[in-house]
Amino acid sequence: MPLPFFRRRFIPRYGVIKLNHGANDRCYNCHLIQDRNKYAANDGSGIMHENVEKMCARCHGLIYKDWRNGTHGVRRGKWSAQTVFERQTFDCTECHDPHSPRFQFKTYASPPVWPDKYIRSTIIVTDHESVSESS
Amino acid sequence: MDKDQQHGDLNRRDFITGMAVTLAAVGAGAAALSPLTNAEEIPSVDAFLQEHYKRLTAEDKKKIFARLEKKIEKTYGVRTTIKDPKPLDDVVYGYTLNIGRCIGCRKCVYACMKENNTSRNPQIQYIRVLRMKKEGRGIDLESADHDYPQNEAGDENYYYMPVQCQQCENPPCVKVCPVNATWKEKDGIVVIDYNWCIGCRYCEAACPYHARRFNFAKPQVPSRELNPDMAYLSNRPRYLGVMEKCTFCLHRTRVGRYPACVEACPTGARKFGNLKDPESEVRKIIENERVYVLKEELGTVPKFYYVFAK
Repeated sequence: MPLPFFRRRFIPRYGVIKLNHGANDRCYNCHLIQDRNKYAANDGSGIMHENVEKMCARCHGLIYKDWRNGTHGVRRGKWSAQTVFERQTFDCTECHDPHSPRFQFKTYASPPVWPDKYIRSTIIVTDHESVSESS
Repeated sequence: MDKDQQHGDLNRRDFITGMAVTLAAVGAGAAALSPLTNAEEIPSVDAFLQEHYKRLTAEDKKKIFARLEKKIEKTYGVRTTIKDPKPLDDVVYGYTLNIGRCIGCRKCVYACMKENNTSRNPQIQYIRVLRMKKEGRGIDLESADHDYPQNEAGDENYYYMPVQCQQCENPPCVKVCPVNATWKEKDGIVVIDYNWCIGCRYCEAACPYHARRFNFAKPQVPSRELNPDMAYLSNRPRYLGVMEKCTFCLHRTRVGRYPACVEACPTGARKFGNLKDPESEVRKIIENERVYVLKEELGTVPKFYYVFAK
């Protein structure tokens, strides 16, 4: 059975980019000023798009470490992959839009349906109300 | 009058009382037997005399699977194939879940329901997503709630911790089963023979993670949502009154694929792999990250690891 190809990609639309990357609000923090096809490394050299995680690792070092360890990031394919074609790994910009990197692929599903006797008690409901007021 | 009493010993009042008592007894007996006569499924002789899974030969299995497929086609109108994948050599499955990245979206819950043909009404879900406040007590299961509404998911003030079967190395549910209907396979997965289970629910009481579910009603799955890729020990349709549980989707994992919950996870918090392979994903995570298991002090040695990572 062929494995379903999992695609998650941002197509940059020039002219409508809105920068929402926290304190990192200067273009040439990431883009190399001499060569706009590359990204800037710490020593002023260029990083190609294939190694984009090295540019992100300049600030997000802990996440980079976890990504290298395999905790952060999505895997698709087979757990028993013999070749690289059987496992799909993702780098930073495939899941996070670099200009507004907050994770977007979120949809939430409904809670379990319980018989009437298991419906949440009033104590917990009042707790939630106080939570929503404080936050 | 005197003559009657001497001879018969049965006057009119006694006769009527006796008849009433007899009728009541017959009625009560019929009422007691009514579950048998009204039962929707009376098992066939073959199903009734079916042996334990471990004692079946290959020919027996072929016959039984053909019978089950026929029955599924009759009830659901879907052609299915029931397979019986064997545990792989040198494989012990392990699971890691990154609590730092779980957003509590419950995608895994519904993907699991779809994959494993669990009952939709009443709902049976193998995965419960617990929600705990980060500030204060931290990971405290007693303050957790698992039926938070949909719009409260993805909150950064909370930890979300999905709990499912931990596939223990030392499973308490297997120890208590009086008929050996559940056992641990060679690759570490705890499975149930649904035809052998008597529904006593000892295992549900013994499981410290509340990972086992009981079919209190006849499981109802819409036939267009039925997953035709079935295995005898995992996701074939269950009966009324048997236990069921997560099997790490053994019909998928034993042929090399990821479980349905791993594929459904949008954030990649869930990772799955072979614990015996030093190069596998889960081994790397367990060796390099901060890992803990749930209720370690009980000595069940789960193969489901929770990770705190970015």
